[in-house]
Amino acid sequence: MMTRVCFVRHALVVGTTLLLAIFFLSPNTAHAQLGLDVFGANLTLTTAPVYPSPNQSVRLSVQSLLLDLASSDITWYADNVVVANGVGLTETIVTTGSLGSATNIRVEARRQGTSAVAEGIIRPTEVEILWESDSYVPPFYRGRALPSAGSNVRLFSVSRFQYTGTQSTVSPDKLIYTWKKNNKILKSISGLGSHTVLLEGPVLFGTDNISVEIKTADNSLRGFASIRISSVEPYLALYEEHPVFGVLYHNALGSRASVPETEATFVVVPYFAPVRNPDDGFLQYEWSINRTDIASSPTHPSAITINAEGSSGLASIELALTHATNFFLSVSRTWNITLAGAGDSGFSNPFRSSNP
Amino acid sequence: MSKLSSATKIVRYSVIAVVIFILLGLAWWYFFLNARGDDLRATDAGRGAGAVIPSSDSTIGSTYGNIAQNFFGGIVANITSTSGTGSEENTPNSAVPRLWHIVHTPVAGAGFVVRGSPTQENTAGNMAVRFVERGTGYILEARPMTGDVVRITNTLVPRVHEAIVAENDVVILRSVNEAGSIVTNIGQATSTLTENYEPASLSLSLLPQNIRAIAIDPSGEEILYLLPENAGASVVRATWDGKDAERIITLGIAGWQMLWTPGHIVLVQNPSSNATSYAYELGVGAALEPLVRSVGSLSVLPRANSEALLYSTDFFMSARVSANASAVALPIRTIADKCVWAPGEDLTAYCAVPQTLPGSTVESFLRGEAHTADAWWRIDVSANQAELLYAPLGVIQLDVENPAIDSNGEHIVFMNAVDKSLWLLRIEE
Repeated sequence: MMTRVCFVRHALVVGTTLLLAIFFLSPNTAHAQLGLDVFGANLTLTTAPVYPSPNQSVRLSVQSLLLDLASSDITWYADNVVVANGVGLTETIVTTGSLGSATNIRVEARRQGTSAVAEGIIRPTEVEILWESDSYVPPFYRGRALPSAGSNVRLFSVSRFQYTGTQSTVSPDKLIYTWKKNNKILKSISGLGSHTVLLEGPVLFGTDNISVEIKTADNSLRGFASIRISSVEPYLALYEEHPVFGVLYHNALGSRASVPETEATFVVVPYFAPVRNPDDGFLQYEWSINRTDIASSPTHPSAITINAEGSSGLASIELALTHATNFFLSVSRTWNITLAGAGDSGFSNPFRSSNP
Repeated sequence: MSKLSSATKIVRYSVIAVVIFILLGLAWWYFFLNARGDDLRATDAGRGAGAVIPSSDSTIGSTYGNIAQNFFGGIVANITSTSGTGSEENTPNSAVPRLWHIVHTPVAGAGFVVRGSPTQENTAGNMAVRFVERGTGYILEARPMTGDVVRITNTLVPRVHEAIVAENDVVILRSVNEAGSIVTNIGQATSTLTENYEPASLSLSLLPQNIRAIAIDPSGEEILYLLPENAGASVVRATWDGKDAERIITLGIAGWQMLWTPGHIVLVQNPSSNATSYAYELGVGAALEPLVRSVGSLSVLPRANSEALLYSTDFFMSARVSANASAVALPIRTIADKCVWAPGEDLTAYCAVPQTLPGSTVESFLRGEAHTADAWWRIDVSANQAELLYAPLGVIQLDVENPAIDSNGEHIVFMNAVDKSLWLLRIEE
């Protein structure tokens, strides 16, 4: 009985000693693809940026909780070539290769006979997030549709992942996307091939942080991108609708403008309003001219026709635009338009309206 | 017997009276109808019935011919008559100034075409500016060497907002219907001055509705257009008449501008002062190859058959002479949309540069709320040097848009965004 106990005790001591010897005497290594922090037994290897892109300078850093790196001899290797060496050299900079390349990184720290090693592989990728809103902009408008309260934002991730030794990039449909909004994972829209998503736009006066982390199924390639999207208020612009040339989108009427016609039709464009067309049934147009309320057309409420015959020709047009269900949409604007009133005869230049 | 004669008299007189009343009634009815007829004829005349068809003595017969000539002085193009004795002579017209205001009325688009077979001695003389009237959709031609302007089509397409003119006479007309949908028509206007002095009809093919952007290849044989879908948009490639349409790539967003130059198909994301944009080249297998990344208020101008590129963010211009070269800032403040590359080997560009820097956002310009007053500059991109080429007189405000340069590098045609009129600049004096 006593012999058996002694034997077990001795076995435990020897085993523990052997384990400790193996642990402390052999180099400690950590292997992983960089892009995440590499936590080794003694060394932690990090990169900045975390997801480097091709031909980009990357700062490599090493930390340790157990070793005194400040007095350690540290050697950095890139593809087995020494790129930096020195006592306490805890950071260095390397440049990534082109898309599809792989750079092997190794850092060794030695001090008083002990050593530690951390390794990783940098595989650069490219990820971009393009976005636009589904808010209203007129035909042929060349600018971006910006989000207002109540509109949606469509995000399109363009990524370029390429395995080492291949000539083509990985199909976006084969990548795994994890979308986040304000640091909260959007599980319902994340997943395989989810490169295009539709989200609710930011709230009134709000800003959303949207990010996407993309990886291959084998986790060997990873990329990341993030953007900030701010909401805007819908903007009202007034244009003359010419009987021959249509809506004169190239010449928005300012707060003071003159139109050389006795009778003219004006159209308001609610840029970035959360609707499909300016005559959407949910939009409520409240027109007034010279402080007199004017009923809007039931079929074309975004337009108004003014006849200045027999009057001074000065029309102060006020418009208040609201939405029947979206209470965040409330904009108004005033335009003072001078038309050719009574006594103004003859034909004037119909192709210019001056905004003094 | 007397009773009988009395009755007879009564009957006779009654009949006579009835006849007289009938005659009076008919007379009244006649004069009443006649008077009504006069009213109707006056109304019909007011509506133009019976009026002489305005074929006019001029070949224009267009919005330009009917209005601009009568109400605008200054530089006005010469009008060629339809007498059938049109001349082939390319006699320079001293009335055509270096900066020629071709038409005062709004146009939808313009481009250069070569008429007939260019000769070695007279390549410039065979070049014409073909443009589309906005109000009517009529296609007209202006000859810089003679100052003649002739209408070549008589097919009415009202309210054309955008038009693209290709070298092979293909023309794309884009308008908006009553429902607010974008309507795109495409046709080929083959009338030329030498063959037919009478405007001809233009046969049009209708492309899918609501095309957001469209581009035509430099030869005019193929088109690319952007068609919105539920989850973004598709880029479709087809022959110029819309046949053999094939989707080549699906994009997650629909707001793009498309540029097609020899050797390049470029997609530029719609700009915003609130966000950055990207530009890609459609490469092999319809892969998106980045050209410019994350730039605010982006506009791009690729160079034909070259890796050189001009791009701008707000009014800061940059140039890249090759794909691997770093971008360099140019010594002018404008946007790439106001520039054209000169043909030839030299990296020379011509840009319309605002004489005063605007303080407005890109949205203000795109909404038509702000306009610049531009002067033309010549930029040697390789040497990063610029020189003033032409500054218009102080009374003329030119906000240059849609510039195009002819194949000889001698003329630049452009629209004035202030009033959508059409102008032509002769580069050398």
